[in-house]
Amino acid sequence: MVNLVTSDNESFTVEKAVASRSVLIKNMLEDVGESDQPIPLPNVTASVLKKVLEYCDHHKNEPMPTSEDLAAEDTRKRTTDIGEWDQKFIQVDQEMLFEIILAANYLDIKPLLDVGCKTVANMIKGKTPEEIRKLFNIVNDFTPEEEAQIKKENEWAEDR
Amino acid sequence: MGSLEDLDVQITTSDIVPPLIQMLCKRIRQAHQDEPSELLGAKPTRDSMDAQCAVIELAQRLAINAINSYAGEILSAVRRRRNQLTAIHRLPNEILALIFEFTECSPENAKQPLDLRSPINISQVSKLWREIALDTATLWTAIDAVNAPILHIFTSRSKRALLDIKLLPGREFHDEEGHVTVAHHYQTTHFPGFIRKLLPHINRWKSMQLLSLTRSTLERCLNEPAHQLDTFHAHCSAHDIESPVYTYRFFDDHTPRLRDLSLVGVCVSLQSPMFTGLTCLHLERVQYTHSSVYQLLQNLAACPLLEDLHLWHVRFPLLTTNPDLLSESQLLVGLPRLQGLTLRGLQDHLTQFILASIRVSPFLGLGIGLFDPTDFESILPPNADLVDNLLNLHHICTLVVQSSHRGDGCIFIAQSSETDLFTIYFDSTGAADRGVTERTVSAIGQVLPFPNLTSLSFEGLLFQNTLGMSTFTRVLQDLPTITTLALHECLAKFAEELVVTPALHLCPLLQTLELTASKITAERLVAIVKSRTETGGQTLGDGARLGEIILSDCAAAIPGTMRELESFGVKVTVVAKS
Repeated sequence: MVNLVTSDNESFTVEKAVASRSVLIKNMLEDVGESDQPIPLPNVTASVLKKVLEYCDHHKNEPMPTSEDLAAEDTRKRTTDIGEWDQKFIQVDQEMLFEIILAANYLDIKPLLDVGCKTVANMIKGKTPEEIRKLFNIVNDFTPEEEAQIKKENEWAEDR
Repeated sequence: MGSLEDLDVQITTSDIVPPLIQMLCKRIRQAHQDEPSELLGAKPTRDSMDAQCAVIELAQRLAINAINSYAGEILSAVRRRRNQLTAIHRLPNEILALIFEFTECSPENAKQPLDLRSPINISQVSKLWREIALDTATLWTAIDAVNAPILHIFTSRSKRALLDIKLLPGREFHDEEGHVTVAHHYQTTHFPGFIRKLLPHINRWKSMQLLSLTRSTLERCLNEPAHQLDTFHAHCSAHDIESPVYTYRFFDDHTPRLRDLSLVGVCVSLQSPMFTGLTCLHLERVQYTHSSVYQLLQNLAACPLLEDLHLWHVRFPLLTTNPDLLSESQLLVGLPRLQGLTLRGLQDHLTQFILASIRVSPFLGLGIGLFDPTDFESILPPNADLVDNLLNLHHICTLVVQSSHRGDGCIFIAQSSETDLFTIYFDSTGAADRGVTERTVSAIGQVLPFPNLTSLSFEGLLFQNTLGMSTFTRVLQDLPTITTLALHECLAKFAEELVVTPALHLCPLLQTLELTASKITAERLVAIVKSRTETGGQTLGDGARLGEIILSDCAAAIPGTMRELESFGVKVTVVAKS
């Protein structure tokens, strides 16, 4: 078993197979060998780690992506398809969604990072810039000159 | 006392605007070296006062522009800082870039109109998103019919990244809105203009897929070497294929990285070096007049890493029919990585020649569709070991034999416990040949022994005299390992053959029997079950007994019959007619 301590000082004891879905933790475990020492995770809160561990537990028996898999994942071959379980898992509010993405990035859990990024991508696709701004509470911060430049770019497309 | 707004306007009017306008007027005059005449003591005239008004108007415009520009900058900066406080801006830039890449390469993105499409839409959301989008060259590498009007933006923003060029018709995207269809039509009819803008970047072409083009479109357009090209698909429209044969030469025969080649209705000489080093080759509706099938095999020998080979309706000059000459000219080609092989609409002797000439590893997914079907012997290699190697006969546990859609042929679908192994269509495209089913099904158990077959299904072959009773009985006698038998659309007489008698005991290990759309009577159904269960009073060899019967669309499946069947200890399932 592995003991993980979150930024808000909460402790989680999990199977090694579950914790090792994180390449960061896996490498730490390999570096320190067998040890009872808790592993501090200063960038992850308890509520987020709980969700991340739920994901890791569900996928603990799946093969880890190899460097070949990652290399083969050329951008042209990427899809935004998400597995059924993962879709349900990632149905969280935006705040938590971004926290999960950040945690997956920090903990180096590539499949979870992809699930999070694909979810955001699916929210974005097919929307106008204004709809995207509204979705993420972003305001238009272009200067009038930049706006004019963008408008000019679009005129090329409107000619057709 | 007025409102705060009124007060602000008064202050602005009295304290800020007069000195601003006066200062601007003074600078304008200095720039024009023009002093007002009244300052020089001269009496004002109409002309001098018109000039004075012009200066004030110019100062007014400058003041407004300056205020707008400055306020715009300030607003932009403040709004940018405000955006940094939103939740999504907590994500690092590289993650936002990854998200953008996912939005860009999703299949749905390709059918969106340009303003709803990534990366165009995301590059117009905010300053930060635009910076990230413009810094991520790979977002701008997909060129297609819809974004072709702003192709120059994509080629410049993709920097040195390799380009993926696709002209695909709307049907490839379920293009309900029609954006892609309209754009594809425009770009294919103006193909030379489209390609001319891309030619300066030919050293960055990674893939090029041109579908539903006319042959004349392609001519003289693609002559320069494409050093980075790894995928080239050129498909001409079906109506254009029958026109006189024209042999193309693409890219000056220089595509050293080409791995995936697909030509439909486009004839490229098999002498071309394009055909070497491939991992995927698809040739369809090509009629060779000067290249032979031997040349094709030599090319396959030059593709040892070939994974997929599809030959559809490819014609070669007639092979020799002299068996001695044929064996002399036989070239053996090892294709150890081949995972999918589809041969459809080739002449039978060509199919056999190719199958006899290649050596593949087990578990190849094989699909064969015959142009002029005769029988298995005429297409399979003559050597039984080769047949076993090719068809994985020892690994097949499930075989489905079904009537072809047009009803004048049949389809064999074989599976191992894990995967589909082969699909062979004997589907007559010429005159209906009623004997083809009889001849091909006869091969089961003889030319095609299935030593480990456990599940056999006949679909749509037993409701007329498509298949003779003697063939049906002989096939089942040759497949003693069957534990599951499904007869779909079956005349009663075929099912009745399953009654165990002292003279005939077909499928001795049968555990599950499925009957669909059978007119078997309740009495004969009971007779089958009774004879195949221990409690039925018959002596069953090997202790095998029927355990389950599944009935669908059978008149005999009435409650009384079902109870009687269950009394023999058989599980009876009635499936509602779909």
